[in-house]
Amino acid sequence: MSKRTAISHIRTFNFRLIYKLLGSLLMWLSAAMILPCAVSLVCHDGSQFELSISMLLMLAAGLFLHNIAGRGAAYELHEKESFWLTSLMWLLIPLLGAMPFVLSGSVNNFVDALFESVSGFTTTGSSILTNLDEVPRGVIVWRSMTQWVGGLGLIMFIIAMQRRLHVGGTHLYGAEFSGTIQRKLNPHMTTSVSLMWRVYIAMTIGLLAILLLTGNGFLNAFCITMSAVSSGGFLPSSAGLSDFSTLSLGVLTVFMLFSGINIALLYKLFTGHFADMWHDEELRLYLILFICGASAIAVSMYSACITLPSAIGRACFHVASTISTCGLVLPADTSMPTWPLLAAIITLLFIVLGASAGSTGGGLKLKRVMILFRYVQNYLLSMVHPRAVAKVKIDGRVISNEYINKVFAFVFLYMAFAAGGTLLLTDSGQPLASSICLALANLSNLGPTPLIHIADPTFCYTALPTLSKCGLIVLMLAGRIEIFALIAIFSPAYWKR
Amino acid sequence: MHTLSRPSKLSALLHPIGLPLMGEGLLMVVCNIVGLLKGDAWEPSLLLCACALTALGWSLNRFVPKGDMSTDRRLPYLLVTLLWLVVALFGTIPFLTTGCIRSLPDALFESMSGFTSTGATVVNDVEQLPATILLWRSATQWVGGFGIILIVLAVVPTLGINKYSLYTAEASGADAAKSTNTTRDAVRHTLSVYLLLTFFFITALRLSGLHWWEAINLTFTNISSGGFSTHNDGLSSLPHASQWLLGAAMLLSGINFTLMYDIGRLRFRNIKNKLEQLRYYIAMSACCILLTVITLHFHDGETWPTALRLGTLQGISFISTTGSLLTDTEQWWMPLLIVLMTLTLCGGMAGSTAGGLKTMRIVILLRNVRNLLRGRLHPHAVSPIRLNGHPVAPHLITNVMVIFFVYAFVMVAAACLLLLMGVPAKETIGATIGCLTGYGPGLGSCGGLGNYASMCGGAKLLLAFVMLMGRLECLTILLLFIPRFWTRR
Amino acid sequence: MKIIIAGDGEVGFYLAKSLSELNHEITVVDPHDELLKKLESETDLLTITGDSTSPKTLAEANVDNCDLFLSVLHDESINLVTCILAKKLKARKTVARISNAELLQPKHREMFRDLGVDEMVCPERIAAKEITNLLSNTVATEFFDFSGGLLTMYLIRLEEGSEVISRSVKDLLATYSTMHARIVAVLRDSETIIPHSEFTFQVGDLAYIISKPNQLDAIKKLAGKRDVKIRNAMIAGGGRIGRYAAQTLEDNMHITLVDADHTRCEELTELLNHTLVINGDATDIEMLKDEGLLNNDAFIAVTNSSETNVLTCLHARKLGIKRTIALVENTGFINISQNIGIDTIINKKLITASYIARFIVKGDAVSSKWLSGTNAELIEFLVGRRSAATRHSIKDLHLPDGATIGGIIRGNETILPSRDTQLQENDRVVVFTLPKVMDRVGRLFD
Repeated sequence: MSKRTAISHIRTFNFRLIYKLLGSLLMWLSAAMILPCAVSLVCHDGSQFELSISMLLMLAAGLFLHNIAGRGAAYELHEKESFWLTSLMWLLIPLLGAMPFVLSGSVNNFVDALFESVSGFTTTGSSILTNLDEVPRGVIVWRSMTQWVGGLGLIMFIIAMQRRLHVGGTHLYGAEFSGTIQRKLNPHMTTSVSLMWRVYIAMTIGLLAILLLTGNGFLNAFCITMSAVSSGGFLPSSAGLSDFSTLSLGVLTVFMLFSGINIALLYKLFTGHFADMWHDEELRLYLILFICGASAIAVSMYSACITLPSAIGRACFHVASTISTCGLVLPADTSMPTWPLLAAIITLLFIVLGASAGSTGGGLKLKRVMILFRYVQNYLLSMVHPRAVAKVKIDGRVISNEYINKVFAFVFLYMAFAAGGTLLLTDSGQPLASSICLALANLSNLGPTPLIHIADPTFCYTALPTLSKCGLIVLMLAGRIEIFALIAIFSPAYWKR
Repeated sequence: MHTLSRPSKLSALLHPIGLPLMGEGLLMVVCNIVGLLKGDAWEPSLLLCACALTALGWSLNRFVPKGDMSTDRRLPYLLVTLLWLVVALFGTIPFLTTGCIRSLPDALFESMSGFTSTGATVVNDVEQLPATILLWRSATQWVGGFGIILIVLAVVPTLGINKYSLYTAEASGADAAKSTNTTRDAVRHTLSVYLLLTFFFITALRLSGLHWWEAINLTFTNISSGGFSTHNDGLSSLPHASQWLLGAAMLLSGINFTLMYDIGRLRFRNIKNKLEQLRYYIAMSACCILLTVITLHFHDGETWPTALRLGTLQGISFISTTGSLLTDTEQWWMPLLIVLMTLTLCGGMAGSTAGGLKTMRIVILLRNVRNLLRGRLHPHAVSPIRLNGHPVAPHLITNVMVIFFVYAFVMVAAACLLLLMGVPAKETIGATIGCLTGYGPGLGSCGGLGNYASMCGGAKLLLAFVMLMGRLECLTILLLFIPRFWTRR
Repeated sequence: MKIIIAGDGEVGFYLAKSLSELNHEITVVDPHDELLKKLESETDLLTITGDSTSPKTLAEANVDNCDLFLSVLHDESINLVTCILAKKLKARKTVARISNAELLQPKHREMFRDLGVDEMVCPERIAAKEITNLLSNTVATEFFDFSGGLLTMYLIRLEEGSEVISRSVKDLLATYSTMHARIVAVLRDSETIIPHSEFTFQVGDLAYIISKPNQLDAIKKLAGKRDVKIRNAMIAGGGRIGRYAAQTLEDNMHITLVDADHTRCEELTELLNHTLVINGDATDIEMLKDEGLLNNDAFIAVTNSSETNVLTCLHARKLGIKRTIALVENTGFINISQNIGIDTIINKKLITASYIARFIVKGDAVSSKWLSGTNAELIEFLVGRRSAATRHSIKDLHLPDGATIGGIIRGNETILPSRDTQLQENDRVVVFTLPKVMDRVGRLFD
């Protein structure tokens, strides 16, 4: 690349690189679609043709963007362009990812397909499909895989694959993860991201192997693995988890819990730095919340007439699924007519709090909540000691005021989105309580939760009016890319060059 | 804690409470005397208690030495909290002695709702109440409404230096100290505006065809953005002229009283500093009104005149956190109610009798968020938030964000507790917002013309506490829950 | 003993002066010519103008021939480099003054020894430790443990109501014969007195008391003191001393730390966890009151200005704070400050000198302590094989005037000596001594 082109690209908006990166991502995704196609062929579910078409379409789009629109792109990526890329990607990829659903005829209209696809890529797991057993297996596999790809984040995929990005990678990382303030695992952004991918892949393979060993069928085990490690929550069949053994469920609980932990910390676990893990305040809070929540729910379930061991098991599974915003639901919980009130309230709180920062989970993130509570406590004390100088410290490191301000703003936006979503849902005739639950569950990328069924046992997303579905799509996206990037697209300043 | 037990500090807390208690006792007597004119009987037990209360207040004022407030920074916060608690607690006397409300939680709820000018009620049939009690309810709101301004003007300055922002009485570069010379002046001015408005509206309401009795009661409850009514159906059965007058009273109750004084005295130089807030308050009211009117006409099918009247007045009632009802809002379209409840959270101007987060905070909050979003696109831009043309101090922005978060936290915590006490979800959300903002009515059975009577005692106590939290803007009370507040100095 | 001191200011000069009084051969290396001239005119020592990190200058000072090399400049990195050079140039033992207490951690000690730095002294750290000790023992003005606590020395101010006032030593010995404590010296009007049998005590005397462990209650009663449990303490000055003190104390009590510099306050909040850091000027008493000065049990002034420290402490004392500690850099202030009522004075120079003295005294001095307000010193000696002291009982030892034996530790047993006590080999002897006779005492036990 000559020096002249480099300079000219700094001055203008580097669309070409955006196209090129998008194109490469699409090509990778189309490559990933080989697996659903293969499954489809093996199972003879009759969707192989449609899946192949989607794959080819995706490949064509990718090739076009990468080789024609993005020809000769300079590898210079700045902050504003990173935003563009992030937002464009999160709009475009789910759009193309919806193709298999539409083409195979598993869903009737496009909004439904988009809903399903967004729900997958954002690892939410809310599903529009009512009878899973009639859906072709290939489509089901694709649906599970979207979660896995979205789990670590589409941006992370690009950063890991495009080693030529250098600083651009850091900008991209910042554009998608506005909330993380952790040290990189390695001086190179690309290397640290690939380390995270390795952890993620190791977890996936681990869980898959264990599930296979404990006697589950491959397809079932594969799909559930994809849902659990990415904190997604799609189920492969209407039988759901009912044919899973207690052992498998226990393993799932542990892996769901893992999926809510900061991946950088999991890396430390794999490399044997246990002390570093334990010194992490966020992780400690995460575990304490899990234990307290699980025991409280176990007690309240026990008093609602189940045996103690099953109450403990179910409570652990439920809390792990909720706090990591995974959203796998035990069949026993969905059909339970009277869920204890305390359990419901705790679940709702956990949905809002969410998982650790830097994990695949959603929600407000525990680190943010910790920062805010400490800050408010400092603030209250400063009312009595106006000259006191106090800083918020997490893990012994000082959090800057600028960052805290951002956290406050994030909480505000989160609540604003939740309120907006609630409004849209009440408009569709949902009762207030279940509107709130639905809005929060989708904003936090949790997806399915027994809470939804308390107010309305027969609830399913298919029945919602189109407007509400679109609202939920926005909520899921907002929750996944942590709102800032999404809002940026809608702010006028964004469109000014 | 051991340091607080020092006699000088205790007396610094007890001495100032004396005068308000004395006033409260006397107010009870006055209410009963006025009630006599309306055909009530003497209430010996009420009068006895009132006299005892007056005596208690007098002796606190007379015999407890004047303590030194400046020795301990915690004292002003403790005093403010204690004052509202004690006054509200003794405010239950008329309800309990006359037997109108029999249980203590109910009476405390009603009394707290009065003194915090919230307007939530547990009384099923208001029209059955004796005149003494009706007047007492209205009077508590009138006193409470002014009380909060008094605290902002007189107590907050004693908290010293840059923590002026506690109640954000006066934000932006130019503060109250510039428009009035002393605290005493500020209190005098505000009081004169408050009294003038009260007299004006009483007379105007009388002229619009109401009886003196109703004119006084309704003025008391609406000018303080309270919202108690003397009728079971709120304001809906009043003549339209009176309704519009009360709407004006509600709108004014959400405006900064010092600003009104300055406008009255044509001191336009001072006005400039608060004009932006006023503009936003008016703009938000207009939004509220427009939204309500349009929805009422197009969705609920009201005729234009009705929609215009109900929408305007009820919209004002929401945004000024008054809570007077012109119709049974519970019948309205749910999404509209949600929007209106959210707007209630925004509340009126700082330095008014209205509750909520206050207009200025909302403006700063939104600008801060906008700035941050912009900052992500232009990482190196320096763009301070401006209000009235002055850059807003960083500590003020912090204050706004903290109060917002604390509000949200209190709301969530209260809602969880209410749910656990068995209150249904819809009522929980409505009641929490209604009580925290000082609007009053909630949603569901406690919304619209309904009331809080059906809730359990615990829920009522909790909500009374939430009202207090909302009135004192959460921070003061939350401070008392921090262990370090008690353990260190 | 041949000692080279590399310094660039007061600590070096103070050390040079006091060590030369002990008849050591002192060479001072300092970059400031004029200061050196002044020093040379006051004291009998050799001065060399120059940079201590230059091997040439060091060679000029005969570093290959010295027993002890002290580097006490302000900059710790220069001190470390100087010591490393000196060691390579064959100095026998090197001591560096440092300011970062992190280097003192045991895991780093070996590394520095390998480099050539034998000992490190962090005056701020020692001062902070002193403050911690004083706050955990509120009766004594100073106190010092010997042999891991088998013997303790207290400096206690005799208050009104004490049982010993106006009574003579002989009288007291008769009354309290069973008590395991004794007064070894008295400081009255800046004069150190080793009490003889007819000596009578007065109010305001500072008594040096040596005692066996667990005698504190009895001593308290004797001195008319009441114990104060310290729960809240305020520290003025967020320099290294203030910071170290807050770091060690903050887990056990509520600490408020006041500093005038906002940036420094922010740094402090990063280092401290439970301390309340206040940004304000310590000379502003109204501000201190506002921040709850009156609710504190102790007030510690460790700002850079000795005057501020003394004045604020006096003020705090007047307002009723039970315990006040002031950092005073000017040694001339010390006596006056103690006379006007400040409990304790901390002086970095004295502390450093006291710490360094243990490397100097002949004989096997195990630990030593220079006492503030007096030039006297408490030294713990190990009685050597075939030393002169083992041959006679104490009354026949002919201890020089200005020295007295405070206590003896034999194995795990503590003995408060009488005139007939016989010293044995391997006894540890705590001796209270004035500097002029220190060498003679040392020789006695060698």
